[in-house]
Amino acid sequence: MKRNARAVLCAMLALFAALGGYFFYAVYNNGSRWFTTPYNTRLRQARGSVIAGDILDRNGTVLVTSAADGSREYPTSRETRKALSHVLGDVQGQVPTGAESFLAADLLGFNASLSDRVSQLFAEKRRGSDVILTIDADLQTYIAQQFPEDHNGAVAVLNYKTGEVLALYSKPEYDAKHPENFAGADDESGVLLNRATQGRYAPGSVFKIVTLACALENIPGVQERTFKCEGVYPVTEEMDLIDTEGEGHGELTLEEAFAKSCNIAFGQLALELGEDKLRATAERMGFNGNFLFEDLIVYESIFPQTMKDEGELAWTGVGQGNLMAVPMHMALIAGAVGNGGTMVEPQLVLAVRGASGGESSRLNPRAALQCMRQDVAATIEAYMIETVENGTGTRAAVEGHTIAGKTGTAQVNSSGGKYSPHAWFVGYCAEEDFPYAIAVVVENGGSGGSTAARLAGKVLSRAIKNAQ
Amino acid sequence: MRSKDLKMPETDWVLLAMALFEATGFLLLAFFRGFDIVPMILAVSMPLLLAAQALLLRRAYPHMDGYILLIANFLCGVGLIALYRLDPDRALKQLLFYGLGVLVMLAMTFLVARGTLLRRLRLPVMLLSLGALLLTLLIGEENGGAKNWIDLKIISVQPSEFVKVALVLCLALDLSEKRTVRQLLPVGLFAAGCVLLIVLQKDLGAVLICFLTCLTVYYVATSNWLLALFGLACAAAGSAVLYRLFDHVRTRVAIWQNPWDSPQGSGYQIIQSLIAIASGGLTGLGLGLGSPDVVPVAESDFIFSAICEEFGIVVGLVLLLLYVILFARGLLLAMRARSSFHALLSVGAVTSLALQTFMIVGGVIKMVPLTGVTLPFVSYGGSSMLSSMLMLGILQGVSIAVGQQDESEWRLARAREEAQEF
Repeated sequence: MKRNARAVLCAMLALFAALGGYFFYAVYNNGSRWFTTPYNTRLRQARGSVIAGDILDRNGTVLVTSAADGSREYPTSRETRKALSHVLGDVQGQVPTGAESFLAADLLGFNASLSDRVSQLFAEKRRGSDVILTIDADLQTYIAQQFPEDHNGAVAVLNYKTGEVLALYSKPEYDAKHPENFAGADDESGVLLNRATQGRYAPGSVFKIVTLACALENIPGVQERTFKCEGVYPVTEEMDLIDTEGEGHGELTLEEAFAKSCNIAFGQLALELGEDKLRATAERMGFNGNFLFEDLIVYESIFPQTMKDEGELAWTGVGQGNLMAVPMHMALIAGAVGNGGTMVEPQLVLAVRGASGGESSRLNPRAALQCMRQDVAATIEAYMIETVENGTGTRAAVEGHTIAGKTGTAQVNSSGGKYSPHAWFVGYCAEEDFPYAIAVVVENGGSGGSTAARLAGKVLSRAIKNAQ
Repeated sequence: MRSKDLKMPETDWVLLAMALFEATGFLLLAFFRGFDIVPMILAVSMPLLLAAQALLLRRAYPHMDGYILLIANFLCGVGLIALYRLDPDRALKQLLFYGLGVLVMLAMTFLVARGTLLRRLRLPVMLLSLGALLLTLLIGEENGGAKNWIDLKIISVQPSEFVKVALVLCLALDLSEKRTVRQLLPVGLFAAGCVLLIVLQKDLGAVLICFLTCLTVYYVATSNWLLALFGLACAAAGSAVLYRLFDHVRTRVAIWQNPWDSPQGSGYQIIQSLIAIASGGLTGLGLGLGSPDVVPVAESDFIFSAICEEFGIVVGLVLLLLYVILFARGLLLAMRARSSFHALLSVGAVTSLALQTFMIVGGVIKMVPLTGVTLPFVSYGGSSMLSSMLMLGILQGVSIAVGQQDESEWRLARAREEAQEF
């Protein structure tokens, strides 16, 4: 009986250890998301009794502040405000991923330190904490100015060593100062959506980075191979693999095939690798994963769970088929190549400043995923640099700096009229001092090598300039 | 003179910390929403009551378990603070039941420590339990899908709460003395009858607690793990049947799987609970500074979330730790007990309380589907408070009995030693 009682004791301890462990784990992982849901009435109440803190950019520019009556004011120019509106969000929570909602716990003082609370014990109205974002308002405004007119799209820029997000631009723009103008905006226009973190696009040839990584890891000696490209390659009876160039690239090494973005070569590689290996590599890089980062939510990119035939597999290898990618995620993948295969966790909050002035850093650089082997990353980097120097991405070049990149021209499947393809560019500056990764999508922007690469080059050059 | 292992552990520091916590809590409440004299009185009287119990009772009955006593009373105090903040009227009602609870706890302690009277009460208790459950089915009131209340004009009673205590008592009595199937038939029928009647009341939380308690006590008594496993399998099969039979079980499971499907509808409770816990963060918003009243039934089922919001997750975890200590000491008593009757009693009481605690805390943090059971000692509810206090009485009775056994044995050994010296 004594032994049985001891067994019950052990079972009880295990049960409660699991309870406590789950409790801590669940709150640690989901607490901020639970807190910031629109169903939290405390937030609405708090806006009445607490003066929300300011939102600043990394250089100290005040982006949002509170007026004496508690209403929100935007001291920056209209241009900057609109460029940043998706990042900032609004107090009504129309853009629930914006800082106003997502960081409400800090802004409204729910996370305030003990000393802050004590110092405000007798204040008429409590004051929340100021939040200093990693965003560079100047860079973001510049992106808005340079983004091709008449086109929608997104740009994400981050430091691939620390994870600091420097810019997160989404177009069509939204205006945080006049959220009422966008009330009930239909999903069709997607103006409330932050396309950089929530937009899903066919990746096109930028996905060849994934196919290349998979080939380098799984096919020994693939670098020494040559491919023959005649412009068309029959995969199944009804499906041919077609190269955008038409006539074909002729004889190519793997590096040339990547730099010139040859569909035939990469389609063949996908067929040779097979669906499972390709999916494994993609998932290791975060496809189909749940990106619930501490500071921001990145929607998941999709690698299809099943494929209907070899034809789809070949097209998947070149970034078409049923693939979907989120710009921020592609920037993270490009950054991972630059960072020796390690993808960092993106961070949006640099520091939080309490009401009594004490500033505490919230930057917490850490790895999110181990995407690929270091030697594989080094090879891909060499190929990506070659792409910008001599391949399809020459327009992304920045004078005096080494830029690595990959262009993409994603065909848009639509039953209706004919659309121009989405233009992609992902890449990074391959230098210790300027570890900036970028992803650009210009919707219906045509060839990635022209519109997207040109914009990426300008933005990277500005980011480097701002850092000097 | 007493030997070292008979001496009670030092509890003075724990007592002081707990008394301070209660005094501060009530003091804060006195100045919350304007000055209020009632919590001011409680700020003095509650810690005094705690200290009086700990010091006087322990002096009079040195074999009572000081930690169990302190922890249970402290939990009641925390519950009262949380309740007073939510609804002063209910808190005062609960205070009454707390006082009553201390008395029934003492009564049960003596019943268990003496033992003989309990044997004579066995049949009446069984009949009374079954009768009360039947009556609930006939004239009971429905509450959250379960029909488990009887309205007695002045107060409402939840018989299933007391049936848990009856089950623990009867199982321990019979399983400690009888062995053959025929001898165990009456208590078996009684247990089966209780579980069945509670199933018919659709009070599935109570069903789970009763059934698993019976199973655990049976296993500890007979070491028959095969039959215990079979019982567990039956429980799993039974759950599956109940899942298909009862609508509100299906709803509960669906809500547990994804409350965000209908955040304003069926998922409202649990989502508000999670939001409340998350709003508090590690250190809480501070007593009176949160809005725990947003969570439906915050005073009973969801009191743990309300406490977490204002006192913080740290305090929530400390409360869980206190429960664990209470349960562990109860089971250590079972391991020390010489008589299987006492061992089974404390195993039964601990299992019932522990399962209840696990189910409700796991429920409000969305670890397991929510079953509307109360948090022992803390939640608002007279029946729940009295039944938890009765369980506490069982544990204290066992503690006294075990202590007396140990002491008399030690005296005997000492007498022998002295005799040898001569």
